Amino acid sequence: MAYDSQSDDTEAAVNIDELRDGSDGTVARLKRRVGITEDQSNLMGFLFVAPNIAVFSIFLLGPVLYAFYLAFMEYSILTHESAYVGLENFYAVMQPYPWENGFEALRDPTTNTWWFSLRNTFVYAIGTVPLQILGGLAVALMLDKRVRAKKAYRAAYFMPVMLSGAAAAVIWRWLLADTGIINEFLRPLGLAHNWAGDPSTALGAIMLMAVWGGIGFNMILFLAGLQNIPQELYDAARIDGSNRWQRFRHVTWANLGNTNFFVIVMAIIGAFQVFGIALVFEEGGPFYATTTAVLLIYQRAFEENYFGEGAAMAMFLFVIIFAFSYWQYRYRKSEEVDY
Amino acid sequence: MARTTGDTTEKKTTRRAALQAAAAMGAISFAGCLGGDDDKPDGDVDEGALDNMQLELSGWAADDTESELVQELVDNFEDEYDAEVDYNPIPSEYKRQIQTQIGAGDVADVFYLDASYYPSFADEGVLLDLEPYIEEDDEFAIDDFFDPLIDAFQYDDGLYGIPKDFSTLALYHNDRMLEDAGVDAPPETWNELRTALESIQAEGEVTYPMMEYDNARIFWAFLYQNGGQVLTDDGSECVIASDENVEALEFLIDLVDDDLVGRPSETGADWHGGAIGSEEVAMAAIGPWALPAIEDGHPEVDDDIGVSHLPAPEDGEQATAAYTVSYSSSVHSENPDGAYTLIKFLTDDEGMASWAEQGLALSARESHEDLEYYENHPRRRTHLEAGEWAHVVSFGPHSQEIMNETRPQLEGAVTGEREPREALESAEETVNNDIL
Repeated sequence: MAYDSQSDDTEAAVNIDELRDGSDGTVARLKRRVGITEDQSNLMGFLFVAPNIAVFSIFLLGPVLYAFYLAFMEYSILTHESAYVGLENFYAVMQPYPWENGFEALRDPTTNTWWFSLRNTFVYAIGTVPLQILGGLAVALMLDKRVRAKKAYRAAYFMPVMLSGAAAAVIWRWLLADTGIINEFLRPLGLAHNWAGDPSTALGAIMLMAVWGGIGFNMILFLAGLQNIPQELYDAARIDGSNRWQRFRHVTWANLGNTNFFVIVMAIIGAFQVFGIALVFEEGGPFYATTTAVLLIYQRAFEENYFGEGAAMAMFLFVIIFAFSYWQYRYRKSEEVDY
Repeated sequence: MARTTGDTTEKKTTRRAALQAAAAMGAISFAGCLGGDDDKPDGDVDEGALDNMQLELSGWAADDTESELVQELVDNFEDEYDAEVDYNPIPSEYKRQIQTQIGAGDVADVFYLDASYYPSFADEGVLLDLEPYIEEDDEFAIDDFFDPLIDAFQYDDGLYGIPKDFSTLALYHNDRMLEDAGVDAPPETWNELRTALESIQAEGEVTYPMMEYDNARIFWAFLYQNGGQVLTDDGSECVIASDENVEALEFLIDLVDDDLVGRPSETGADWHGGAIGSEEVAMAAIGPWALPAIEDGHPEVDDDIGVSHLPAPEDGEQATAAYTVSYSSSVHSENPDGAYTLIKFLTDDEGMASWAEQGLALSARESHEDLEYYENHPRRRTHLEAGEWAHVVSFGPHSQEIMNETRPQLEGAVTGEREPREALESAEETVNNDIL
């Protein structure tokens, strides 16, 4: 409306040469003449992103900020009553500290369940992330070649990604049970074991499930990355007399930098947020063996109505995930290859 | 200057007005949240409140049959009263959703609450006290309900829920297998249970004669049978590591150690009903919810499956664990009189009987032992009889935390990570130090 009221035909007639004179003030002068302010020129852009911003703010940013606020409050969801308690929730979550009594909290879940759940989560992340990534890369490299029934293989490897985590957990629990099919193969070797029901192997069983699911997801990302590498680079490397390993190291690997960054960050975030499969597999048991950080947050907040402590744990987890993602980001910058 | 002063005055006025308005709003919403004494219902159902009632009923639905039955009851209510009832079951994550709805002050007029978390809701003062209504109402025979079920919903001199139904644990046994193993009658004592399991094991038809979950669910019955308790009578202290309880847990763990009791991950069955139905085990302690699954899913073994009261220690008490659910209303209900009327309709003699006859859960009314339905369904009747000596698995406002601390310890004992005494002492210490 401002545009219409403040401009007339004479003023709005733009001398195209004015646009081309190259001096810095031209565009600004022109906008002033037609009555467009700096803000208005961005209006269209804002309108385009507005739906996204609105949804993001309401369903993600808002709740995140509210969770941050809750971490300092004692809050009941039933009455909406809350009281400021400072850092008390953080102390309640963290004490006793993991290094007390010879790292007892990392060995005995009853000393401090939060540290024990973090220990489980770290073990899970360390065990699954490298295997998911290397497995995904290996499968992608194999299926990037001329292989018979390539598409069928790709679909087969990607299948677990499409399966819901809960369904996968139920299937794997059957497979890994004492009387499950996996043990039928292991029994003749004397290796049969109650993998899902033994606290010392239950976490390993979940990790196996996660690697199985993660390989297919990473494979698709790596395949996309591999197909973006220009053939000319391989040709040039061949002319330079490079062998297969050198071509992988200096062409394939170097060009997968962005894919690697994305895959690693996503895998780490996914590993630290593991929840669904742990819940369905054994509800965090047996004897805390599969109690992961997010599972404990869920129990504290939604089952026991301690939203403040749950939020404090979530903040703690956020810092860990953020630190890993930031470190990976810095690391990638230093490794980046330019052509 | 004059203008500035005028502005300031105007601002002051506006600000004061805003503060007053905010204070008033705050007071109103606070009163609304807490349901202050002034708002307390007097228990007299105002006939006017029953004209053109608009009510909402919420709960979970185990399956379509259950939803259809609730809808049928609701239709009957609408026919009898001048009412429109909107039945909106919550399909999943029930507790999480209902607590959010209560917190938002936008919840159904009548809803289910499981006894395991009911006290934490009652403790927050968000539920409507039904006691005044019941005191004023001569028609509603509250004394007919099994005492343990009413006790589960009694909180601080108020009654914030009426039992919708309940389930008790009983011993399911495959009589053909018992006969093959030379066991003449279902075991009535712990010693008889062990002997029967040993005979079944010796017969070799099943790998594990009995099944129990990792979290030792049957322990919640065994401990009361052995004279133990979870909390002291006043609920102020956890006494789960008492000698009686340790002895009860040791009895179970010995059965596990001797492979007389197998866990789901060992038997290959997901749950007790499945294990009994597929004859992977000969015995299990289950609730009546397993009966439809056995009757419909395993008709070939249905006739062999008998239900008896749980075996008790030789000098112990008759006891079992029970699970129950209430119909409750919130202080936010716009028509508390209507809400009570609907609850009363659903739980009175007729409403409760038609609900119980679905066969999934039991009638909460003691007099219903004489119902023809239970005459014709002796297995369900066995479950119902146990209502008299049942102990509801619910431990006050911190019930959920107590369960979350105790269950893993019981898992530790069952999986051999912890000695029974050590497991119970660890649970007792955490509950007393960190929760109560």
